[in-house]
Amino acid sequence: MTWQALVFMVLVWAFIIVMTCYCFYKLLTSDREWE
Amino acid sequence: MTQAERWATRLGLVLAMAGNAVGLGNFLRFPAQAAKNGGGAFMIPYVVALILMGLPLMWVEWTMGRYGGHFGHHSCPGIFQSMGRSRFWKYFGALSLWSCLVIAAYYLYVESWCMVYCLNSLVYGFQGMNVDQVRGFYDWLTGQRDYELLAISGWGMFFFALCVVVNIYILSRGLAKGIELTSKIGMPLLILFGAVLAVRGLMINQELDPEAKASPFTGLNYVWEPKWNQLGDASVWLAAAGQIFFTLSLGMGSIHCYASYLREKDDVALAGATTAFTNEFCEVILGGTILIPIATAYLGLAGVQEYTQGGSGFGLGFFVFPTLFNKWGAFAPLAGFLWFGLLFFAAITSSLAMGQPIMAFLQQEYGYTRSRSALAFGGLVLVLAVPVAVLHQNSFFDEFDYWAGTVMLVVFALLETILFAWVFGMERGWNELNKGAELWIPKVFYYIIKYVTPLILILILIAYVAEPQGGWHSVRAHNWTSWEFSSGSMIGKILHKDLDERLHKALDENQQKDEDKRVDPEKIRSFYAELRWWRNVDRITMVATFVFFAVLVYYAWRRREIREAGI
Repeated sequence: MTWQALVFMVLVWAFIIVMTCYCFYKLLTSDREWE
Repeated sequence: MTQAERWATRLGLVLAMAGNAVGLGNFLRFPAQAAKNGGGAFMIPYVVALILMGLPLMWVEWTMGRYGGHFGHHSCPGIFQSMGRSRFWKYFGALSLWSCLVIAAYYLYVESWCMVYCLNSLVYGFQGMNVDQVRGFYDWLTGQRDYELLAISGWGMFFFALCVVVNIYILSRGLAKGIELTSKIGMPLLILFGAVLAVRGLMINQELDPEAKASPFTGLNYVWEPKWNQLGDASVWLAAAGQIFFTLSLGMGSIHCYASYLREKDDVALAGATTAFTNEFCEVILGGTILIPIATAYLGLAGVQEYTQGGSGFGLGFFVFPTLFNKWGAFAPLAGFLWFGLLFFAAITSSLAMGQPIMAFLQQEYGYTRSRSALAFGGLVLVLAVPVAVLHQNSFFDEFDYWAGTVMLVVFALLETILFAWVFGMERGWNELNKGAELWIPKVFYYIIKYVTPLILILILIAYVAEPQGGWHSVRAHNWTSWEFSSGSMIGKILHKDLDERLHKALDENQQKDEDKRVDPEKIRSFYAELRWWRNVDRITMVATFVFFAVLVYYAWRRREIREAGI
């Protein structure tokens, strides 16, 4: 893989993984659950 | 009855929503689109479209659903009517019922192929096959033959019917025990299957595997290498916006329906964002790491480019992959099972989301029970599915996919954005979105939803209507006074330009064949003439289906008026 491709892949993956984990973290640790 | 239905858990709802969004396109279309439209450079317009259109529309649909649900509406006719002042909004809402049914009619057919491929992989059915033989298996399953309009396959129809029955059964079990449970099982399995395949694919080593022609990282590079010169190309931006739009299953009414079972102060901001990012995880990280890297390792880059030049990974996924898995020895049947199992889970969690809005409408407006409404949905699907299954794929199948699965989704999304931001009012809409929100949404999205998202949708629609011959990247070469529409544009489709192009191509290819293999040119001409006729029948069928739903909506509101008047 070229450096450019690798950098792009890592950046986009990082953005998606961080956002997905953040959303699930907030969702699963929320004290607001349904009855 | 629908009023008593609720999601059991928040996680279950998010997984059901993500299951709705994650479909076949995540694994087959995305990598091919990315590779075709600039590789890494494609991801710039892709992420921009996610922020300016995908996330805002996701929030709009969740908010509209929860708002309508508060008034006891679980399908778009009622949800739209509760937000708009004019009585016509409920008929625009009926478009969602129409889209769900028409898309389900062909989507369930593809879902049944995944099921058959999955089972056939497990029993070593593809062992020793080459690409032509796998293509032969596909033709056997679908009954497709060159220049034959009728495409009847007994086994194909049996599995299609089986798939419809499985969907009816799950839907009849209700939200929590049916859709939610399926998603709670299906989504983690889908991610697990995808992760196993991605890791196994990246482990292909040219030195250890004599069949490998290239490194899988060459394929990964092909997907991600930024081709900066394509970034100035309008068609790349349109392709990225289109991919974001379709991958999130927007514009169908399924998200509204699922969200309508929330309570008034349940969060939609965080749940909507989680849905969108789960879909992106499946699409970009899993989808981008399976199809093209594995195919490149065994076919080489040129082979992959040949299969993906149309921007679809269907040929690679269904014709080539079973032969590539054969190179994995004892792991081959399991790999085939994982790949087609993954596609099956992706498909079924989406098809369930197409059934629920129609069921909810029948339950709520006509007092159907859950089982009866599930059977009614299955019956309606079968009526439309018969021509899909017995006629050549270039007739009903392609037309349903284009008009219901592509054009109408954008039209519907544009209508709902106008309704939310301009009719209901952006101020009220913004307050509604932030009610009970567990995620802070920056105020800039207020303006994005109001101005930018509808503008992007209008641009996509214009691009569909009037795409010039040669695509939008050649737009500068076109003269405004002699604009020639492409065969893929809406106007080109209406005029059957794509059939004319295919006819000329088929005649040319036939002419170049050895004399003993040539088909009578008259047969080819007559086939395309029949296709044209059946496509017109198909369009009348689609209009009739919409009229059917509009009449159902009309009588539903008459019944409401009578009920409310206490007559």
